[in-house]
Amino acid sequence: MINFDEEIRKFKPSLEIAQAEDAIYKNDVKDITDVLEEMLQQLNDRQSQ
Amino acid sequence: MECLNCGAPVLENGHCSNCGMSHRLLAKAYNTSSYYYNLGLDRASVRDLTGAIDALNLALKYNKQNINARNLLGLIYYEMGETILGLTQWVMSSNYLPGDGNIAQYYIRQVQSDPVELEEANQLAKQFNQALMHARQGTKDLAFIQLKRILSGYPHFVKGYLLLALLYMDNGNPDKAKKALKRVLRIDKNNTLAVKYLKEMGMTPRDIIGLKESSTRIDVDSAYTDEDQLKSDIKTFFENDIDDVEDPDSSVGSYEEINHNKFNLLYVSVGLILGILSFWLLILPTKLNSANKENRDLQLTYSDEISQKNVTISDLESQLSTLQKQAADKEAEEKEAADQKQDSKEAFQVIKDNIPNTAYETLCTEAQKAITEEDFEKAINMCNVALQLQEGEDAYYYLGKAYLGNQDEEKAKAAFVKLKDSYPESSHIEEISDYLSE
Repeated sequence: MINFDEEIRKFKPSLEIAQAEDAIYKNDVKDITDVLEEMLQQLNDRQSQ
Repeated sequence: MECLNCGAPVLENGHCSNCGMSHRLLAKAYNTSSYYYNLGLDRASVRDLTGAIDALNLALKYNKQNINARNLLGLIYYEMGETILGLTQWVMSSNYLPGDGNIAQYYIRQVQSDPVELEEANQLAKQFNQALMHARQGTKDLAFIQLKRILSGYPHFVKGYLLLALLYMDNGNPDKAKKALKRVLRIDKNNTLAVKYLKEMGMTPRDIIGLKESSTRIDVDSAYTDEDQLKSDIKTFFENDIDDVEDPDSSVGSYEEINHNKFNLLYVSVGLILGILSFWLLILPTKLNSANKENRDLQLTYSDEISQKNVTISDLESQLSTLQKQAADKEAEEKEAADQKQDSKEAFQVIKDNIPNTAYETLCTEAQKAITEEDFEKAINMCNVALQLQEGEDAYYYLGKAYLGNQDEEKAKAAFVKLKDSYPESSHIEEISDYLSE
């Protein structure tokens, strides 16, 4: 049985124009390249230490 | 070989000479990203938008600079009514790959070229957020009103339909919830939330497949109204065979292309028949009643007029008969009066003829006496009165003598001449002849 209160919590507000800029700047989803860069950075840091 | 990340040459050990990244890993990641993009594209092509979004998000996790994946993701969001969300994806895409070679630039220009549409999209988001707030706060009536208004203007807004369906389910109105979810399945064939809600309402997977197939008849660009369900049901009724109706399970079968053209004539015929029936059953009786009422009113008016005229005619006839009677009475009276007059005249004449004329003789005697007494004026008057009563020789004689006595010889002579002419054998002729000869 569907619980209305639980289900309604899953709905997220729609994006308005005023929030679009923030959404673009905060969209820092990491991809494989970012992960590899981080790993390399950490490796380099360890080697330098 | 160039590095996929920074474009620097790749060393023999397989790592970039600049960034040091493993070319093999990057190539695999980019390849996986492309795979998921292709998967997303396939799903989007068959309107499995939710599945496409999942695939494209995965593609972007492997390579966030996958321009095609990002552009397609933006397009899918736009199709689902999330214009601003789509716009953000296109902006990020154009940021990674500036220039007209990126189709995201075209999409952005298209959206920005119509400020009204952009503002409407913003209002849509605001109104949905308000409806969501109302639903969370328990003011569901307001949420219903807001959502219906949104969906009548934005028939592609999937999230709105899902919230509306949830509200209908909570409200104990599964039919309307199904109707909203049918719209969702028309836009997004495998929307997981819609399928979940349908299952919760007791629909089997076969029923859901049948619902998906029947949802293809919905005009996805038409505004959402309560009549859609009825239209769809009528179409389903006419498109199913009788056997199918008797066996509901067979109505949800394997996928089969429906040739809608062959039913066009049937639709038109049914429409015509329904139109004629509605005219015959609804409009015609009203018209007839109206016409009958008008006729009755007219008849009553004419009856009143006729009765008034009849009254007038009877009045006039009675007046005529009265006048005729009066005229006859008057005529009779006149006739009677004339008869009486005639009788009186005749009687008067008889009386006059029979009564002895003593007044004349008396007057003549009185005139003679007045002459003797030398009262000539009196004698003249007496004689004149006597002559008015009756002409006679004595009256003329005494009149002449009275004038002579009164020294009026001319009149005296005239009276004697009259006596001589009228009564030539009178005893007074001899006497007056002497006078006249003088």
